[in-house]
Amino acid sequence: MSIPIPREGFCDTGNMFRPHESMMKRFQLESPRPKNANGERHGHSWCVKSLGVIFVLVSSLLGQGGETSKVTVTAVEGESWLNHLHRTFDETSMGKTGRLGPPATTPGEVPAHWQLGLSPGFATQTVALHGRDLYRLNCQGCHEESGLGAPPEINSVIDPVRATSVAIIMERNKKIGMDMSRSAAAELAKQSRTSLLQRLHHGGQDMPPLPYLSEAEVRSLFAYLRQLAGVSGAEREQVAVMESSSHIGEQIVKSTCHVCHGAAGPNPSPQELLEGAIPPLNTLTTRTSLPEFVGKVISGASITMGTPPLSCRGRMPVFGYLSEDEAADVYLYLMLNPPHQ
Amino acid sequence: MKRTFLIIITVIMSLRVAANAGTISGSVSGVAGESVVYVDTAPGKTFPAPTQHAVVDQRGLLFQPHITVVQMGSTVDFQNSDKVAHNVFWTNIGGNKKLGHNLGTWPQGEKRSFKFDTPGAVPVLCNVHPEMSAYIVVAPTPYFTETDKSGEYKIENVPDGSYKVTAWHEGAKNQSKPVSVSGDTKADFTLSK
Repeated sequence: MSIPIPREGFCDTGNMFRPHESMMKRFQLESPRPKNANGERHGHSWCVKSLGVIFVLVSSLLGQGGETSKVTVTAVEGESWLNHLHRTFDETSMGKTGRLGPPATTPGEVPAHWQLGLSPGFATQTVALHGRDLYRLNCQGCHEESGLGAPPEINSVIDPVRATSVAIIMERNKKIGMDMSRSAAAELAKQSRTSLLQRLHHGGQDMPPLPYLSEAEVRSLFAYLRQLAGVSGAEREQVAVMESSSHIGEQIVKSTCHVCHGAAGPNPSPQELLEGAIPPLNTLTTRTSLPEFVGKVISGASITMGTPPLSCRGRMPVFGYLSEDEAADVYLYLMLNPPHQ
Repeated sequence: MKRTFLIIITVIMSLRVAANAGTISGSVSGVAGESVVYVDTAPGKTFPAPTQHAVVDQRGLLFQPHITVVQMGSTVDFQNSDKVAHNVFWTNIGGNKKLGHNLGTWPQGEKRSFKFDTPGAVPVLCNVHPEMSAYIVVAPTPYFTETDKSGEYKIENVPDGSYKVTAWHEGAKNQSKPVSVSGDTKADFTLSK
């Protein structure tokens, strides 16, 4: 079910459909309106984009989103993965991208607003993602773009993936004078593939499981891992999968956000934040607007901490490798699937 | 009376064994680090296989220890103490490619065992982590040892007799020589790659 509203000229007519006042407040649709180089408001285009967001959120809420995805999307639940490992944020490389947000603003300085620019079809259409995208959504937060990880805490994915290639096994053993038959190499490659796929599905002692990935997604991801690891011909194995907005959000939340953020709990006070508390996911959509959230995820934002509360540089890494649509998918997913313990 | 007689016989036998057991000692040069020296053949003698298993652990993306010497017929337990899956395979034993074997790939906390019935060096590898390597040196007799880092070694309790003694080092050619053991005997080796 969806509410048909015109995309163009909506702000000018102003009387066909107005979002509920509480929703306008929730998404802070007035405050972050950006200015152009001449100091003028980007009234029309910005308004259209923002109303598009409202449209898809409302239609998604009413229609509960996608029949476009065959994957059952479920809420994130339970403690953070770091809590599960009894590891603190300061002593891990998990979920860290090496990039932080901008320095805290000085008193009197007006923080820069994020100019939200979602795709016209955001959240209403399924999108084709390749293994490279699935890697970004599910793996890159810990294993980095290169796949090398951060040893010894986070292992490289390269060697375990190369171990699935018959040609690589034969070549490297030949180099060290340990020639082996193709059938022996094939047996080794098969075992390595089985082991790697088990790891993708079930995780490991330190790696969270990825049970929400479908077989098709795992195949696509595996194909990209082979390309990343330099397996010859792997670029021809790449396959796309169609993904709904909610499922994209689900993947990012469960594989990346949930590493540090617990699913549910009380919102920490500014003093607790200063002392290292990490806010839960269930309060996210009530404590921040969509534009604020997307801006924080992609380019970072300062955070209010301490007693008295002061604007500080946030500790949360910046995930510049996510698109605005994908960050908004996270917000939408958390709205539609409230996290719980 | 009978008991006293048995004690005397036992003491005499012990002294006799002690008198006939010597040592082989010396050094292995030409290579850096630890080597293995073992009595390769002892004509007319057989040795029961040890019941105790040797253990090679996979820990920290390393085989530990890197070199393990066992008597022929010994069983080696390969255990995985890492958080990731490991594999164990070798492509030959003593250069014989027909004896190559893939023991499999298994996760943390599990182990797999293999009984080595053929003498020779076994180059052990992990297919998942190509930087990992180890050697099992299977000696035909219970008379073997690993040198220290400077190449010095000593094999104790070797009965007097004539033997072929072999020195092995990773990546070098084996060297064997006849050694007649009578008490403390010296045997030095110089290996080359």
